[in-house]
Amino acid sequence: MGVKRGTAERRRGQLALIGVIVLASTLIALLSMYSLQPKVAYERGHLQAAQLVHLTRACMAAGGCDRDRLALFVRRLYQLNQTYPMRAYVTYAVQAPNPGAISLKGGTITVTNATVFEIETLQKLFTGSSEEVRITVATASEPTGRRYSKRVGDRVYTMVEVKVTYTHSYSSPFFNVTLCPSLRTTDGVADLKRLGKCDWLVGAPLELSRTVTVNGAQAYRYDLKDEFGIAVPVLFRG
Amino acid sequence: MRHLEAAAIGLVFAIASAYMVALTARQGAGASGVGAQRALAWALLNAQSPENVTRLVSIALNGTSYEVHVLNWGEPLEPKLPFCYGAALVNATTNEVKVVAVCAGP
Repeated sequence: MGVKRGTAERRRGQLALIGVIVLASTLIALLSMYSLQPKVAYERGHLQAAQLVHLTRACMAAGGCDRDRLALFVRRLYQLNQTYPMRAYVTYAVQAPNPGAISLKGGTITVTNATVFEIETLQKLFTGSSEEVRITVATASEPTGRRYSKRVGDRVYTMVEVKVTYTHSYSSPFFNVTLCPSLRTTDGVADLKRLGKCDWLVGAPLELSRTVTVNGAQAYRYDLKDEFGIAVPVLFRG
Repeated sequence: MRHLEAAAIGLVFAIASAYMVALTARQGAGASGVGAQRALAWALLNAQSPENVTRLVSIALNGTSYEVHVLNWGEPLEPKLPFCYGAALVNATTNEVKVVAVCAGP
């Protein structure tokens, strides 16, 4: 009698065990088939402002970047925005880098190319005012007074040593960034040495420089290129 | 018998826990949309060519699940991951436009 009762209890237990395992397996199988569908709000801001920085650099690298050319780049962006997930803001090119501003202080000549875009962010909805993305590329050239000769192939050049500070500043409602892009020569004649993050010592060949007028005075201009392909004007007096 | 039942329940609990941990890890490894957006923005600020932008995105999103697509104008974007951010990359010398899209998701 006792043996029979024991066997029945064991069988019930085994059935319960199988039931639990089947239930658990079913639950796990159902869970594995469940696909997650999270609700997502796409963030806008950083990417859209960075996109305008990129377009400005491309426009400047192409040369002669005036407002018409900048507006053309923005129109292209709008076209791509219809197909790809760019989520561009309504954007107005307010100021183009060309023509830039030249200032003379002591012996230092500074060329500043500022680009300004107005973008219609959420703030426009609430306050009616647009926000601004500003890209400023500044080159300050200060001759050290040193000159030396350099032979390249069968030619001898008179090199004028100039201390150059070259910066890119990007400001927007989403970030404020200052970059110190690297510089390179286009003809392999100039000497380049990086002194600090944004400071360079440049040996500019006088014979390959062209004469320009800075604030009514004659000066020389020798162009380098930065890592984005933008012309970097090194200005010095003869 | 009680021991057997307890063992069965324990086994099921262990399997379910392992599944949940795996599921959580899978979700945690996915790049968030915000992460992908900011990674692409950071790459755009620091680089100009599609190759360098892609490289910087890979550095920023290292260890997460994401996809980078480099497309020609008009080429369709067919992502496997659901949440995508795109940017236009203009080559000033060749006047060529490429689209870089970063997609993230669980």
